[in-house]
Amino acid sequence: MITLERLSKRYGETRAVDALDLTVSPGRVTGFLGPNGAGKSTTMRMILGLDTPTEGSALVDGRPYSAWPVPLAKVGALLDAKALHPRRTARNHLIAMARSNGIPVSRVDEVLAIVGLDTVRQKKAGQFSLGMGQRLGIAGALLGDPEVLMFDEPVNGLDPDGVRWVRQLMRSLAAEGRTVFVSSHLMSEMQLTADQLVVIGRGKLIADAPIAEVIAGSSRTTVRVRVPVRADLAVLRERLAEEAEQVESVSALAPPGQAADQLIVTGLSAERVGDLAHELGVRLHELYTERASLEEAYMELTADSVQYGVAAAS
Amino acid sequence: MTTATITVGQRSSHGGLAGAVSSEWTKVWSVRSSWLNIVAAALLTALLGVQFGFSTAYDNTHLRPGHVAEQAAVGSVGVSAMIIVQVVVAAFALLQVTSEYSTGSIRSTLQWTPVRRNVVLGKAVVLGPVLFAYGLLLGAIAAVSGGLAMGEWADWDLATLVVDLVSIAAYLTLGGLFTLGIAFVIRSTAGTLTAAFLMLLVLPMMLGQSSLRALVWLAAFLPGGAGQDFLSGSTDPLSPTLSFIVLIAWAVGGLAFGLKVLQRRDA
Ligand SMILES: Nc1ncnc2c1ncn2[C@@H]1O[C@H](COP(=O)(O)OP(=O)(O)O)[C@@H](O)[C@H]1O
Ligand SMILES: [Mg+2]
Repeated sequence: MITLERLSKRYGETRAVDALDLTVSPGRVTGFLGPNGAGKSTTMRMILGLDTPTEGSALVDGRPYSAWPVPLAKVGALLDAKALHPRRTARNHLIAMARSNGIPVSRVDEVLAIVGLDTVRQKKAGQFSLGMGQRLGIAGALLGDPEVLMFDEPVNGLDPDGVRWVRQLMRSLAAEGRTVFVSSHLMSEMQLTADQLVVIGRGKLIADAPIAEVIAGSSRTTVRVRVPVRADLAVLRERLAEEAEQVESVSALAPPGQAADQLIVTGLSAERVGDLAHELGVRLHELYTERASLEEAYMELTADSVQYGVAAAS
Repeated sequence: MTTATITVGQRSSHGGLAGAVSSEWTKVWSVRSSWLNIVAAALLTALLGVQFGFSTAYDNTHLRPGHVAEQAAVGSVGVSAMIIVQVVVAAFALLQVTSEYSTGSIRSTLQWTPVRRNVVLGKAVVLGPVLFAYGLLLGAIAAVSGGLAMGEWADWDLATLVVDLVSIAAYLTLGGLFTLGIAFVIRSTAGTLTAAFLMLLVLPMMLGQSSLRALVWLAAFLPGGAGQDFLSGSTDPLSPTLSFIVLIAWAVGGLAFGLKVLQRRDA
């Protein structure tokens, strides 16, 4: 479990991370989402003690990462796949890593096999492609058989096969009861991987909720209902407005400028809309839920922070 | 590609300083630059040894008025050669840190060994014996190549040679540890090499030849100056024992300074 308490980091004028309160729980994949520059990498570096927080704390199972006697058995992390000596072989890199935490060297060959690098183990890490480097980084994260795993943008540079593999790996790690914390700036990656979503923008927490809730909570999840009789439309609209957040009339089939024949309802389920129409005896031709894609929900959540980012940059 | 199969039950027993030492040892010997450095230093030492040896033999056969021909201890060739070769040995030490900064692998090191004291101590504990052995090797190469070049003027007395070799090794170890410490502060290879070059060679040499007494004293308190006084057995201005203590102070101080900076800095 990772616990962040008012975690903050300032670089000069930049508030990279701003009073972040967060708990990342075991047994599920927590997606850590935010536009570029939102502070994801900085947060992860502070969890590992690489950067010192300006304020607040980051604890792993109640203690700072550095206080654990065998840190690699507590947290396995891939933050920057290029943080290695390019002229050391992949295997020697992992051996140095294993020895630092007293992990048997046999485990090195095991993780190399898991990530599919066993045939290139004697190759210099600097000659690896982006994708191979990423795999080597993941091998390092698995080395200590850790309870907590942290990946910063792990699918960068991976081919579609590799992306699928990483996704499965993260799901199976979480299924084993581990804490999996994975960052991305793309919602599409998280949609199939994460159980829980943490969204940040400009260093601040924007959302922390199960993925389904994030979609449902978006104002873009709407129910559309088409009513053939114009008088019925007005009656239904009036009734729906009593319960819904918003009801809007549009013309779907009729040419533009013609009378509306459709209602767009926000904040009510399709079931409820159907039941109400039935009560009123209103005949319906269409009734369906238009679910926002996670991407849209995310855009909506981070719209403010992105706008600010652009404004500040220009 | 397999899915993750993670074996539990082979949990490690230790990280900490023991792990850091073991990891640093692996790192030193798993890049070719370490081996190239040793080969380069060995060749340079052999060349310098031959040159010093021949020049000793020449001086003894072309005596200036008032001078008498004397045998020279072969270990003294090592002492002379070290003035120059020490810079190569310092490079060996500083590269263990600066190459990590230039490649970004320092972030990996700090992730594996998050207690930063153990990172500095781990490198120092590995480099101490390695530099000492390195010094013995280079001293021996200088003594043998110089002794052979001197021919009949070489004094091969074993006891003297052993004292000279151990002194050379001790000096290179302490000078190397000092350089290791400041490498954590400076981080770049070129910058650290320049600083080491100045502190170990250039400044003491310039100041030591000054006619101003204060500057001679200053030279004696610089690591290179203390090293020269210690190796040559000079008693002016400091005794060899005091010079050795000055050297230890620089090594410990350099490492402490490096640790202080490392502990404060974001990786
Ligand atoms: N070492 C640093 N020095 C100065 N600014 C930094 C440093 N690291 C990150 N930043 C700034 O902090 C903000 C957050 O960066 P980062 O954590 O890398 O975001 P993300 O990983 O979400 O893209 C950015 O504005 C970035 O420019
Ligand atoms: Mg980032």
